[in-house]
Amino acid sequence: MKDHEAQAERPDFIAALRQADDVLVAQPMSPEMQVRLRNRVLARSHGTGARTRGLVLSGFAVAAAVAALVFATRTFYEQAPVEASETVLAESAGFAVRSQSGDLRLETTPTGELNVTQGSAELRSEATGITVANIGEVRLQSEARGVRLTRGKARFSVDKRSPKEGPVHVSVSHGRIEILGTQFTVEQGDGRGSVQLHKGAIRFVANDGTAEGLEPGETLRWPRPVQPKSEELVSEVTQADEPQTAERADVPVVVPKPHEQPIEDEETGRQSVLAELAQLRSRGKYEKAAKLLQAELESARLPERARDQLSYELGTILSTHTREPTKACAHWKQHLRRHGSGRYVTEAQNAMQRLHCQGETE
Amino acid sequence: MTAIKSKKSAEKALSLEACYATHHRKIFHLGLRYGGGNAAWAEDLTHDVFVKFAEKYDGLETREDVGGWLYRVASNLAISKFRRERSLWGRVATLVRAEPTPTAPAADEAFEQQQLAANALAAMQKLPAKERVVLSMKLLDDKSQTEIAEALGLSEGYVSKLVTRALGRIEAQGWEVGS
Repeated sequence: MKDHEAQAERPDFIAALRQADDVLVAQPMSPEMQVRLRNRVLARSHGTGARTRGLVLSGFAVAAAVAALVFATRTFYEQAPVEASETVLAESAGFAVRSQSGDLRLETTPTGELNVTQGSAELRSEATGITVANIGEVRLQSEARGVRLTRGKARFSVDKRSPKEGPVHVSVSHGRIEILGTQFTVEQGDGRGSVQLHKGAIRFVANDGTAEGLEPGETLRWPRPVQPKSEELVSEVTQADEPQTAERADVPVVVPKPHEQPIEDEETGRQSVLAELAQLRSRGKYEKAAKLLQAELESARLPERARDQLSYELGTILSTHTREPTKACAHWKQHLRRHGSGRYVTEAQNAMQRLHCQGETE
Repeated sequence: MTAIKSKKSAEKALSLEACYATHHRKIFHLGLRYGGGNAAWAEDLTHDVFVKFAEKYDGLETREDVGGWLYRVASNLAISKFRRERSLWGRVATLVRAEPTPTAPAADEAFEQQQLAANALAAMQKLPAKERVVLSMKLLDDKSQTEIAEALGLSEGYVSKLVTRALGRIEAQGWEVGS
């Protein structure tokens, strides 16, 4: 009897492991890691010493030799990929190239701007501790207390700064973004742009002096999208998304929650939702996570690929965490109907088997 | 001749890029899973898997199930990586090498309020390499013993033995593993 009681108190390993795995699935790769890993993979695959690794790893040498080899290997990885000419160009504009793709092309202008015209790179402004990873073509300029993004889209990460050091900033057409240590993405087009905060906290100070704080997951756009002129703009901004206030057209506006705004960039939008989802899951707020996903899935313009993934996420929460087997079965059934050729068909079928949904599916 | 070769090489580069774009997140997740949430470890595994893909690209008979191929390679490489790290070389290298800073959130942060989940992951980390990978495939990917045996190049009987041993070790750590 006592044995039975003792066994009943033991935690369920499989459920706990699946819960851990759910968190790991939702754990995004940082922008720095994405750039670094892509560069590592593509550099190695193009033949830069792909076979040396096996030799290095198979060598059992004395500890001193091992230390020297490991150190030498690290030094090789850190220095090898950087093209000298691109490094010089970047340095002349106040940036250090931390990593780059093989096809990176940089240009400098007489006014001191650095243009990334091709490839991808992590550029670091040592003076301010700002690291920029470009997303496509960008135009940057180093400033005394920050970086100016003149054109293009880039992810920024900033070393943690003490309040004594004061904030650094990223300048854009309609103001500046003040930072103490965080990660965010900025896009600057012709007279308009946006900043999306991934983690930490930032403050947008508009050119007219008005300031606006952002929380993780929030997006701020400038200027306020009042009258869409082209079809492209119409597809991005709908009546429902526009705040019904009498703000000036040239003042930036905060778009509060990512799940209430259209996903204009499939990958960015989905990653943002997944990041918020990971936070909710790590706090055990599964019902809120399910509502977030439900709201996302009701969005008419959600791309099919993203819808497939988010639907799968919702299914796992309903199956594993909120303990609603009937609802979970109905969801998986709907998932298979809508995404019969999607990426999670096997997972959905397995989940239905675990939940004994067969009766309901027929 | 040179033109054909360079065209082939360009095609390979494109295929690798496309394959990487499609599958790297899934492989990274496998790395996190096998590495107990260690982002740096997962990054290394992901790197090794795609380098292997590039090396084997020309010899791959079919590229229809690249995802399945990468899954198998990732699982096998994870076992090799664990073994390497547990070898004399691995222990010395770990002491000497400064690990790259994990830029994804550390597992501990993510699991702050899910102690049980973190403990389950830690329990998996205590298992020997093969048992850890086999048990992950069985419990998290619902793979049958036949599928696991095929993927890892082991006999079904051996897989069955590994599963039983692993579950025994988990139970010995105070967990309920069910039937």
